[in-house]
Amino acid sequence: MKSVLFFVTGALLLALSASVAAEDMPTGETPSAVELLRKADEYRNFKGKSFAFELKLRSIEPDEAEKTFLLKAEILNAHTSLIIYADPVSERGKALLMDQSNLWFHSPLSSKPIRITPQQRLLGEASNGDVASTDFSGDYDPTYLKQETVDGIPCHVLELKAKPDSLATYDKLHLWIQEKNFMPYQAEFFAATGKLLKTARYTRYEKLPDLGGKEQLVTIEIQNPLSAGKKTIMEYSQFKVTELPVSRFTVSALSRLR
Amino acid sequence: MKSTRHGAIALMLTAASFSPSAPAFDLGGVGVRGQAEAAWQYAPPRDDTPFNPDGRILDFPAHTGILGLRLSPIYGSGPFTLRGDFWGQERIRSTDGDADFYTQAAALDWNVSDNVVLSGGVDIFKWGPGYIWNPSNPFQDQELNFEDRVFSYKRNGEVYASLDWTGEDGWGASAYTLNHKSREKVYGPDNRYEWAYALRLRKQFTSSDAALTYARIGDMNFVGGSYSAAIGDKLELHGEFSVRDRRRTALPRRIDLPGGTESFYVFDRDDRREWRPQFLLGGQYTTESLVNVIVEYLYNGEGYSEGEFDRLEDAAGSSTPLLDSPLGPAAGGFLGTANTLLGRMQRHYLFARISDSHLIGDLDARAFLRYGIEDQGVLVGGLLRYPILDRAAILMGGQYYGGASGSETQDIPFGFVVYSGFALYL
Repeated sequence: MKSVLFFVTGALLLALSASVAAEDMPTGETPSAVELLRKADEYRNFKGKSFAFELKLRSIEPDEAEKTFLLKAEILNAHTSLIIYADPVSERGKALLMDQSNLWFHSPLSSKPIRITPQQRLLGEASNGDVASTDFSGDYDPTYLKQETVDGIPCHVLELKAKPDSLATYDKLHLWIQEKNFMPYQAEFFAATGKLLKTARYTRYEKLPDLGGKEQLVTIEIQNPLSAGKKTIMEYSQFKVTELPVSRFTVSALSRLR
Repeated sequence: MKSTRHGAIALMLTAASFSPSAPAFDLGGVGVRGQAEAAWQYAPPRDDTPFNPDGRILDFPAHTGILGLRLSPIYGSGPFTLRGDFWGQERIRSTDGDADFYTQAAALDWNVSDNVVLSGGVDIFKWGPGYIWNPSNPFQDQELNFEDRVFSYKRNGEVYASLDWTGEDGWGASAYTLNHKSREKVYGPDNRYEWAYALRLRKQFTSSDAALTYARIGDMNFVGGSYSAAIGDKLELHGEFSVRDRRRTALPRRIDLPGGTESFYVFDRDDRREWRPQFLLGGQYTTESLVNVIVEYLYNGEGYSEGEFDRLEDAAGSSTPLLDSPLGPAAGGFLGTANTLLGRMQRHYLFARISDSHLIGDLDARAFLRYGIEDQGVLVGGLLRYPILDRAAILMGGQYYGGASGSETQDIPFGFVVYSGFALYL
């Protein structure tokens, strides 16, 4: 439960870090790391357009009942997003606004939106700051590490390091990108100390008929390497590329959200 | 009144009849968020304070039962949003009871364009990064910042119109006009509605934000500002300030009767035309284990100085012997008003809050301490909110008013409050 907000973030970040039908790369060439990352990013965003989606979080822990949360997310740009809690009912109406490194939380039970520290995004396991980033390319410099076959799937492996003065959440991450279509396959996220914080597996992609058949990342499984059996599955749906008014992404708007 | 009470009960029963498994509460396209609460509160009266001698001024039952229902409907169509926030509360005591209905918000928002929102209706205006107090907000109502109670203080919103603009590079501005009545206790009970105008300019940076507000309320000018910043992942710092060119504090004044042998006290508003500052400095720190600590210092230039508070207590001491004289009604009125001023009438306070809040879906535990630097008055409190099932929570809490003898908190007509309740989210 503690990690729900983290998962929100992680979900968003990871979703935003993986979606779109990649163009074929010329065969026989090793693509540049920058180009690979750009193509992988296309599976999780909409080329700079604002968009919205619903996210179901299923938190699975050993010996505990599965917990499910439903969230609505609106992404204005790479570093501005809004998360509104829809279910369970006891959480309905709570909202998290992220704008660069500024985070505000509003609860219908409280008198006004409050600024929260980035640490409060963590809620247990990892940073929610990822939510503010809609692609890896903007915040990280990629380096091509190697080719590796994982689960029988040939992949390019990139190392991404946070750009100086960027809003990157992690100091470093490793990203496995499928050779055949440039879909992200898995990732490892590291703290500045080099400690492995979490792993992600990008397990399901789906064509979006309402968006020209664009192939989109729709399921991610997150695991904490330090907590055996603890897993969160994030399922994305209801993607909608839409104009979102900038006035909706302000602190004063939090209390009049619908 | 009886019909209102029956209405509140009917609403409660209606609310409670919704199936716990219903995923949402939607009435013909109108989304409705709701909350029903039932609570019990125990607050034995203090009958030995200077303002409540022998319980002769205030006497109330120690036990209070409370039922309440909050409904927050919202309906959107195109660029328009209609929203409301309504509270019904009923207090049940052994000797009496009362019911109230509050319209905290009933407003229409019109997204005129991508970055302009025009709003109007009834609402309450809250801003500023301070937790306990927001001096940068000319319309603040510090009672609203105490949401730690099962049944927090409620009031009606104010009629307003506003225009909100969001610009490029983090700039924004808002203009307000509203019919405002101050709720500051220290101003006394005789506040009137006045037309107020405010312009608020704000700027957001990468990890910080600042705002500047000018307001005119009646014939009073107000300038306020705020700044807050995230310093790394765990620390946040904030500050707020304001100055206003009129002090509106209620102060005791002695009335000497002809002959010079008898006198009594009344309250007069200090309407001196002079700049009075208020400011707040604070920060919050969140540990690895998600314990959040807030520390704040606030200075209220409109509050009572030590000398003024001493004179108030002296005036109370002079009024008590008059209660059995022909001047008894006047003395009783003075002492009754003095009780209503208590709450935050000193100038210097320290505040700290520690909480283990996970923002969603978990046990919410918090405790706070407020310390009056001048009078060593102490207010401590705590709240536990434990969610059960998907749409309910059990709440328990309390507050203790203590500190040095003669401090403001020792003069409050109850020494402690404990309460517990059950909340159902709809």
